[in-house]
Formats: sequence, structure tokens, C-alpha cells
Amino acid sequence: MKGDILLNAIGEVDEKYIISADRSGSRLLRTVLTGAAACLCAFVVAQAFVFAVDSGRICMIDGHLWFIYGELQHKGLCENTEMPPYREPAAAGSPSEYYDDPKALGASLTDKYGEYTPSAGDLVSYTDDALEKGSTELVHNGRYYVTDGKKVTVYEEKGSAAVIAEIDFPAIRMFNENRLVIFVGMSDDGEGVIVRAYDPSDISFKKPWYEYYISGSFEGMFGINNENMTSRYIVLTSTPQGKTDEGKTRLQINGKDINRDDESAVILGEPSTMSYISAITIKPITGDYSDRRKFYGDIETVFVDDHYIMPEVRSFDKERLTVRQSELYVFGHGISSGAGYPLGENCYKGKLSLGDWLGIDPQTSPSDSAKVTDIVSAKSCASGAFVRIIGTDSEYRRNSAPDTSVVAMTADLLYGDVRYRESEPISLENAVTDVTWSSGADITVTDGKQKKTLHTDFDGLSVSLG
Amino acid sequence: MEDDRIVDLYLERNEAAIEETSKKYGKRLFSISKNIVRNNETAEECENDTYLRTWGLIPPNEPRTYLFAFLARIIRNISLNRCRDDNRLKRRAAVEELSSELEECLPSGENTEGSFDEKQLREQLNIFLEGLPKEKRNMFMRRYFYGDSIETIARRFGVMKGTARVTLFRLREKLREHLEKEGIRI
Repeated sequence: MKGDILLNAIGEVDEKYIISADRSGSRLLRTVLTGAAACLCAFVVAQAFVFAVDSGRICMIDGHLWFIYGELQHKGLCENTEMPPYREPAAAGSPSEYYDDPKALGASLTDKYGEYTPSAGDLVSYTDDALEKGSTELVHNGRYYVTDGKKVTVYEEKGSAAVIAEIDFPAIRMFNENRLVIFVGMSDDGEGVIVRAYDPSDISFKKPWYEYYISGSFEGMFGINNENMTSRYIVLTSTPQGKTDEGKTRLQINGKDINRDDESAVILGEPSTMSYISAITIKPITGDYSDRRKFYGDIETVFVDDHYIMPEVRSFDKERLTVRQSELYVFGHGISSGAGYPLGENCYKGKLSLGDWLGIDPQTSPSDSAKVTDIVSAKSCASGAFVRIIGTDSEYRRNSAPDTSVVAMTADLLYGDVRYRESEPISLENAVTDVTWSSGADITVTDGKQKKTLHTDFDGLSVSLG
Repeated sequence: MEDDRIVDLYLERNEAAIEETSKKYGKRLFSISKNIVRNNETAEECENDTYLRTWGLIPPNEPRTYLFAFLARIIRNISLNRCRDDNRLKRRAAVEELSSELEECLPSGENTEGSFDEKQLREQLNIFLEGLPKEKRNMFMRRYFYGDSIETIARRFGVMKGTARVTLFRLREKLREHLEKEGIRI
């Protein structure tokens, strides 16, 4: 066939096109990463945590780092990463075999998709649009932040003239992390970036949660949550620092050379262009996470479809959700199987029935998957897995009667999540006794006397029940 | 191990080169072959043949900055040839599918058989690819270099299958126009 000639000729095109296509798939990652930006300080030296960024999703399964292009494809071991203990599923229904044995899942997927173990210093590509670039204005918790490149002004809300604070920081980009607001600005010497984060609950904005200097020009950043409820974020900068004595690309943090073989740092770049990028994993070093943890609940594993078991969900920003363990309900559903399973023993100890919460049919088992499949197909895999949570709106808003104030949430779980929406809280006279999710996107809650509806058709995140 | 070092191993005639190549790129190479030959055992054979062929090609070649592309080309060629030599319809079908799609790209006309220059064709393909937006270029390469199915491409690029199909169709049209304009005749 004459087409064969062309087919052969395509095999001889310039290497850069072959390499670029090998790394392609940016739109998916862009979808996944939207809003996933933030930074929590101090790069990780002690923990061997290798990051490689490819044009796909990243998640962790049973201690393994997976790169996903729509479906699981490559796996890299994350050694020395302390993973949460596996918990037996407490739910009724029909948990899959993988739920019983996450390791079997890993093995199965390896068989199916092959294994790829990234090494520190691996060259991997990235695409500009795969990164969260941040913006010059953002809304966080209702407040409106805007930067003019010299200072950040915080308004009561967008459109309001009421200035809450002015932060003397030359932010060029801002990120909206669930709990923190993150600013990125050029350093005074013009050769690096300053990443500074504030906890907005301190409206003085005098003391940043952390501040970090990273050499190079700012390229973008994104986050991934993982173990120990610490978010781990990557700041990408170009690396104008040249070469080390060993001839390796120099990467510095706070003026200190980081050996690119150090597993906390991976040099990313595209061989064809040699445009190296520094990637640094960082995690918080301040703040008492152990204290916060008691508010968070202890969801360690969420079963999401046959494909995913995502331990990093425990790093879901539970502080923001601030539902207490006994009142937290999680339901994951996935892409193909559609079956949903309640998770965690506390789902049964809480005041709400998880089966009811699912609302597929409160009177029957949550393993009734038919309607869940409808949901899934409505959203498909581009947006991945979702979790819907309902809990009392307690600590974060410091309500006087938290048990009677209820909020519903929908979150994208691909990363354990940085993206989510929550409904306006509603108040009941007494604690919630029952929840139904009958149709549409609304959830009805009752305290036995009153019945109220939570509207959950959050833009871009909700999945309507069919 | 870095590509540079792996290439050094080949140049030193150190057999660890093959082991390191396999460790770093084996799965991806296997995946390329599998897309084409659609059979695990054959893909494994192609992968092994690729290592042997690479051993023979380095030196004189020194693909320090494009080792993966170098390997990918080899395994692709080996896999395509295996399919063409294979009488089993299912395997040949994979190549014929790609081939027949690409045939649409060839300018029509009488008495044009054989009047083309391989080097010129390759150059024009590079020019064509360079002129495409990155995402479309990658889609084209995923389909016709890596042999991805439409479904896989759609998933990879986060688009509907129909969108992927239409995009590829338009790219083929565009390639045909380009080749026609440049006077490429096959």
C-alpha cells in the first residue's frame, strides 16, 4: 500500500516530535490540576519521595506513585514513604477484591500497564499548560485578593471597597490553597522566586505561614497531597544556576546547592529543548498537624472504582472541611464500575446513615450501583473521581452549635483533593438525624423535626443524579 | 541512569547498556510494539530485537540527547515489519488500518507511482509537523508513530472519541494538501 510509505516516513521524523508525543496529554492534566496550586514550605530531604511529572495524572496507590493518562499507565515506587495503615472496609455492599487487597491492585495494574520507576534526575517533559500558573486576583473564603505586582490588597469581598489588609509583597501570582493563600513573587535579586503563604484566619497578614526562596524563574506550581496529611507541592522554576562542579544542573534552595540526585528534587525538562526545570517537593514544617488531626476524621483509604485506592485522601484538606470523624461521610465512585462504597467504620457510627447519604435508595444497600453508573457516565473520566461529603460545619466557622449546622461538599479526589465546592451551610434546631439524596444535586437533611435542602450543584464539580 | 551514561556504556561495549536501557525504557518500548503487533509475546520479541539492533547501531550513532526517540524508531520499524511479515490477519490489520488512513493523505493523480524522494518526503513531514499546534501534532504522532487507538488518544488528550477522530481526519486532509502543494508524489 502506498500508505505504507508514509507510515514508514513518519517513523523517520525529527526526534523532538517523537519525544514530545511521548510526553503528551496535557489537557487532561490541566483539567486535573486546575486549582491545585499552593505551597507549604520546606523541601523534603529526609524522605525519599521521587516526583516525576508527566503529562497525566498523578496519584498514589499503596505507596506507589502512579502516572495516569486517563487510565493507569506508569507506576513508580515511592520508597520510604510511610503509608497509612490499611483498614478493613467496614461497609456492606460488595467491595471489590482490590479493596480487600490493595497490593493485588498494584500487581494487577503493573501487569496490565507496565511499570516505570522514576529516578531522581530523570528527564521528563512538562507542558506549560500542565502547570497551575496562578492569577493576579483570587477569591479565598469569600475575600478578594488582588495584586498590582507591588502589594496584595485584601478586600472584604469582590467589588467591595472595604480593605481588610494590605500585604507588602510583590506578588506576581497568587494561588488559592484550601487553607492558605499563596503568593509567588520575584526575589529582590531578580534571580529567584519567593513563595510566601498566609493563613487568612490571621487577618493582620503580618506573619506568613512560611516563606521560601527558590532560585530560578518562576514557571508554575502544582500540588499533590499525600501521607501524614501534609500537602506536598512542587514549585517549578527554570534553573539559570548553571552546572555544579560535577557537571550536573545546579538546583538551589535557600542558597544551598541541592544535589539533583537527592530524591527530594527532580530535574524536569525536555531533552530536545534542554529547557530544564527544577521541581522541588515541599511540605509544611510549621503548624501543629497532630492537633488538627483530631478534627479531621481519619479517612485513610477511599475506594474509588476498581482502579483507585487513594490513600492520599487522608490529606484531603480536612481542616477546611472540618467535619469531625464521627460525622464525616465519604463516598467514592469511579469511572467504569460505578459502584460506590461507604468507607470507614465511622461511617456507621455517625449520626447519618451512609446508605441514606448516598441517596440512591436510602432503604437499600449502597451497592445499588445502577444509578451511580449513570452519574459516572455523566461526568466521565476527564474529571475523574468525586467524593461527596456532608458533615457538620463545625470548627472552621466556629459555630456555637456545630452539630446543627450542616454543609455539603463535593470534591475532586484525584489528588486527595485541592478542588472542592461546598454548599451554603444550613442550620437546624437539632443535630441531623437523616439525610437523603433523592434526585438532582440537592441533599435533604432532617433533624427529625425540620427538613432542609442543601444545594450542591456546584459549578464544574457536581454530578447530577440521573 | 541518564541517557548520556547509557550511551557511554554502549560505546564502551559494556553489556550493562542493554540492561540499563531495558530498565529505563523497556516498558515504554514494549508498549509501542504492543500497539502495533497487538500481542505480548511478539512485542517482547520485538523489544529484544530492538536491544540487539541498538547494540549494533551504537556506535557509530551516539543518541545522547534523544535515546528514547532512537529506540522508539527502532522498535516501531521492527514491529511494523513483523506485522507485515505476519500472515495473521489480526496483526496485519493494525498496520493496514494506519496505512489506509495515511493513504488518504497522498495526493491523487495519474502516473504518480514511484515518483517521490524519501528524503524529501521526510523533510516535508517535518515541515508539516512543525506547522501544527503542539497538541494536534502530538495527536498525529500518537496515532501514526505510536499507533495509539482513537480511544486511547481521546483519553490521553481528554477529548471525546469523535473529536479525536475528526481532528485526525482534518490533519490527514491538511497533510494531503501540504504534500500536494510541495509536489510530493508517491
